[in-house]
Amino acid sequence: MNLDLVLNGARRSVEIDPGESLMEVLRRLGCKSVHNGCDDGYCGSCAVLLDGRAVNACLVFAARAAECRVDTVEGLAREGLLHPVQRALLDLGAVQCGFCTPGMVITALDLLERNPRPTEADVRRALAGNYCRCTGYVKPVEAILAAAAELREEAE
Amino acid sequence: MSLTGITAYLRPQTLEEAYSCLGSGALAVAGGTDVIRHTHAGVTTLVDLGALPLRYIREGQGFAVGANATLTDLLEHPGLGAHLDGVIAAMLRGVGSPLLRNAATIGGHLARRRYSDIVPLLLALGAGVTVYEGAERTLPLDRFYGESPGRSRAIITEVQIPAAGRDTAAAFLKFARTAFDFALLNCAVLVRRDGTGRVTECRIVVGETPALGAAVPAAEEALRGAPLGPTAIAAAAEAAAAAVAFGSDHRASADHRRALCRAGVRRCLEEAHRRLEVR
Repeated sequence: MNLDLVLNGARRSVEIDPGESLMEVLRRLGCKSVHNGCDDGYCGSCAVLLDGRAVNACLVFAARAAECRVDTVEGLAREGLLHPVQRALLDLGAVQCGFCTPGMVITALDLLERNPRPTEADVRRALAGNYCRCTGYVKPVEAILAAAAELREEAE
Repeated sequence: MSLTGITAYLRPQTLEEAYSCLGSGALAVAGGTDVIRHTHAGVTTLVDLGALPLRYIREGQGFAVGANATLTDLLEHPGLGAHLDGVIAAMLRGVGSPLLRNAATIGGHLARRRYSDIVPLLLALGAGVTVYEGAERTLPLDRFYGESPGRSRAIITEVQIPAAGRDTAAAFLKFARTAFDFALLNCAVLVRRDGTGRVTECRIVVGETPALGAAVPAAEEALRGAPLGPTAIAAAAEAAAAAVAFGSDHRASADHRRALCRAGVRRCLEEAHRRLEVR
């Protein structure tokens, strides 16, 4: 069957299997930031924004995304400049092996869209479904708080 | 996790159309987060209910929640989030991760009929459910789970959560290995008392026994009519531990569940009592 969606702002049309997960289809479309960590909804490495909300792409049928907006980390940079969340993770050394990082970026975008002034507890609660097996949670939390401050400044 | 052997994915626009699609070899999909993780023998057609106009939360005398509302929709709704001291929102924070709650729907969850913190609390709150089987009918949630076991064509369209007055409090508690793992056991209570401090109405529900949550009438009888306090609470907790037929599985033994039940029912009733005292 055919799937039409808006991927990172561009209309795309792709042939899919009716039982396929969104994760498989996005990776086939070249979005390799959508990492396959567990393929079972636990690790959060495949998180994408589906109509603006962060979801595990491995737990969503691709066919469900028909006529939806899907955003991945590939679509975040503007004119060669990283998104403030990406920039903060990089600047503050919040990346060890990096496998979980795209999922954390997506989760952070969902959080900051709804809560521009999160507390540390808010950030930790938001990241509950993003596993970092390097166990490097402290720096990502600090980076997301820094990105929140940066985004607030930009908004003023 | 992609499913194999699926040859069609349908997105009906109306309830009538959806119902007619659910013949043999077809399986209804709501958020899809549970369906996609399991193999389904004999299923070749997925019927996605997501296009039906059922994503809403209406607040009036209580709440009417459309089946396609996500668990996040419930958690973020100001009225529902604050209902009965925030008992629903607090419970939902322990159901999966935010990534899961953004996709999973209340209708899909109730249709799953297993592994639930949500069902025990909704049973305690006296929730109702509307299902469509050619026509819509509304029935109490406990009756819904009492009838039509197994795969049914019935489509859940709405859940109703009744209003509650200041004389009523509820509490929920779950025992689990991690913050949002499936529960080893969970408990939910609702208590209403009159001006003299006596319990006029109560519901005590125990879940993951490991069966789906159900009311424990013997525990409710121990509390009803008694002054709400340590004596009646201890009697109700004992009655619950004695009355429920616990089972053992890879999560916990029956004996462990019985001990958890005694402590859980007691703590829930104490919490409901505290909440009434500070009104």
